[in-house]
Order: sequence, then structure tokens, then C-alpha cells
Amino acid sequence: VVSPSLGAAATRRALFKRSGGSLATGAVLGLAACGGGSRPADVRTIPESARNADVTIINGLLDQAERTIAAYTASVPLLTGHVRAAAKQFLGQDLEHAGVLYRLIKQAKGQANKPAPSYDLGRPRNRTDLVRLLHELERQMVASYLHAVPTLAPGSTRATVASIMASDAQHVSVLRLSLHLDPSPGALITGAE
Amino acid sequence: VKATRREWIGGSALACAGLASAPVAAASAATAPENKSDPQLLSELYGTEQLLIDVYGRVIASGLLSSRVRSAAQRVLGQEGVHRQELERQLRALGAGTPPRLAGPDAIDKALRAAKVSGSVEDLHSEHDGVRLLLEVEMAAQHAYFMAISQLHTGALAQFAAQILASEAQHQTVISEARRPGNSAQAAPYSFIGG
Repeated sequence: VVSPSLGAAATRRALFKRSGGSLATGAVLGLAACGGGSRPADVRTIPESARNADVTIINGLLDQAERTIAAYTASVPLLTGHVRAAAKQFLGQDLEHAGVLYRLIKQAKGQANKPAPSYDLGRPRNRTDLVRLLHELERQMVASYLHAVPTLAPGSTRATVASIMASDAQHVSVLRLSLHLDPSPGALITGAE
Repeated sequence: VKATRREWIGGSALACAGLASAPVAAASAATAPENKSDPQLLSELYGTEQLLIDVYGRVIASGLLSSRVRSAAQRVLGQEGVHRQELERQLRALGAGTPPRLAGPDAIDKALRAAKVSGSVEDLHSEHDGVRLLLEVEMAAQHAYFMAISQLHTGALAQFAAQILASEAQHQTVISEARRPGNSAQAAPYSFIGG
């Protein structure tokens, strides 16, 4: 699968339009969870050198998120049933993650990396191969977020990245179930699962 | 397509600023009012794990769960025990002790109310009640870990807490999937965990 293809592009646009609706819903849920009235993290208190390091790290996470988004976009039309429904849902959530990573980079006065024109995602031959591909990409995301957490500042940025990591860990669990694997094989998540 | 997607993602961050800033803002607000030490924060998380263990134990013992959900809950309970052990190990390494265990259902329910969980271990009448309580207490635990990660002073401890946060998120998925297999909308309902 090399994404995007012409066919996938049209589908992706349709998916993006649909996920826009879920984004609005997510915004309401997100605000409700926070209780409103809160304020954004103040990155001005972070030294410029640290901000630059954070931008580099978060850009790396954004690159990976873009790759995973491309994989979901290419895979959704090829899947069926509840796996397809899950993949569509996770695509929407990963787009929201990418939006937050983008915002963190902007907050730190950085320049967000652009997505690659295409991604070589291998040659999955069937549904199981596709789910394995998505599982592997989500697993890699979890490992990368976990690796990033202790290196980031301030604490609010760490918590945000951990929050995204935990969401991707849920994606891993659902995808593992689709592969008939233990959805929660370890008590401490390492990204090796 | 590339430009469109970039605009969409960039636009989502700007147009939906409320969503994009939500987890960041929640963590920021959490750090402002108090400045707890790492042992204090870990001790609170130990209490959270203790609550999870007590609630799982009570729900499993109620006999209300189907074999599928009970099996999942027992596996999760085992992992909560690992979390508690690991937190105890970290507390000892910092020269701190562990808080006392909850004594009886009244203390458990009091702790649930403090964590803003509406259910009660003494008011379980169906599997629905049990699963709902388990999911609520898991989400309360996720919130506790999320807040702790934003406040922990040591990066390695923040990473350790993030490992458990992700595990609690998976527990929510495991219990939900055991109750309603194939319903990803319920198994992973939120894009951001704990905020």
C-alpha cells in the first residue's frame, strides 16, 4: 500500500469531512472533561533551547502520526464490519492527536513538519495483514510517545503526550483483539506489545 | 490532497482550539494551585490503585458478572496488583511509606465519592451496575494519573506514571469489549485519556 493513491484520495476527503463532525463532538467532550475556564500552557517560561528540543521531539511524533493517519486512510475502504468501524474511529482520533501535536509545536514557536507526499506501507495482502500493519504503527506510536514523555517540558506537555499515548494504547488493544491476541498483555505499557 | 490535509489538520488545531487545548489546559490548570512532592503524588496514586483493587474485588465477588466479563475483570485485577507493587517499590526508593488500606465498604464508597465516582460497592444489582462502576473507577484513575504526570518533578517518574495511565486506558477497553464485543465506540470513546 502506497498512500495516497487517487482512489484513496477521494475516500480520504470524504473521511475527513465525516471526521469533522466527530471532531466537533470531541471538542464538546474535551471541554466538558476539563470543566471549562482553563487556560493554555504558558510556554514562555520555558528556555528557548528547551523549546527547540521539544519542537524537534514533537515534530518526530507528528511525522509518525501522519504516517499512521495515511495507513488508516488507505486501509478503511479495504476493511469490513466492526474492524472497519474501529479503523474509521481511530483515524478520526489520530487526526485529533495530530491537531494537538501541531498546536504544541506552534505554541513553542516552532515550524510543524509537513506530511510526506506518500508513504510506503508495504504490501498487505489481506485483512489480517492490514490490521497487523495498523497494530504495528500504533504500537510504534505508543513506544515513541512513552520515550518522549520524560524529555518534554513543561508538565502539561508531558501530560498531553501521555494522554495521546493512552488513547493509542486503547487502539492497540482493539486491534490486538481483532488479531485474536491478548488486548492487555502487560501491566506496564512499554510499546513492545 | 497534501495541502488539503495539512489545512485540515492545521485548521482543526485552530478552529477547534477548545478541543486542541483541552488536555494541555487541563494539565496546566492542575499544576497551578499546589506544588506537591513526588512522594506525595505517588502516595496518592497508590491510594488510587488500592481503590481500584478494592472495587474490582467487590464487583467480582458480587457474582453478578458473566463468565466472560468476570474473566476479564480478574485479569485486570491482577495487573492493578502489579501497579500497586510498582508504586510501593517507587515509594520505598524515595524513602516514603504507603498509605493505609481502605477498611470496609463504607471507606471504599467514601473514596469513590472523593474521586467523583457516582457508583457504590454496596449498591450493585446487575452486571450493568458492576461494569459501569468498573469503567467509572478506571476513568477516575486515568484522571488521577493524568494530573500526576503534569505535576511530577522527575521525568522518569512521569514516564512510569504514563505507563500505568496507558494500562488503565487498556483496562477500560478490555472491560468494555468483554461486555460488548466489537463496539469500539464504547471501548475507546475518547481521543484524549484522563484530561
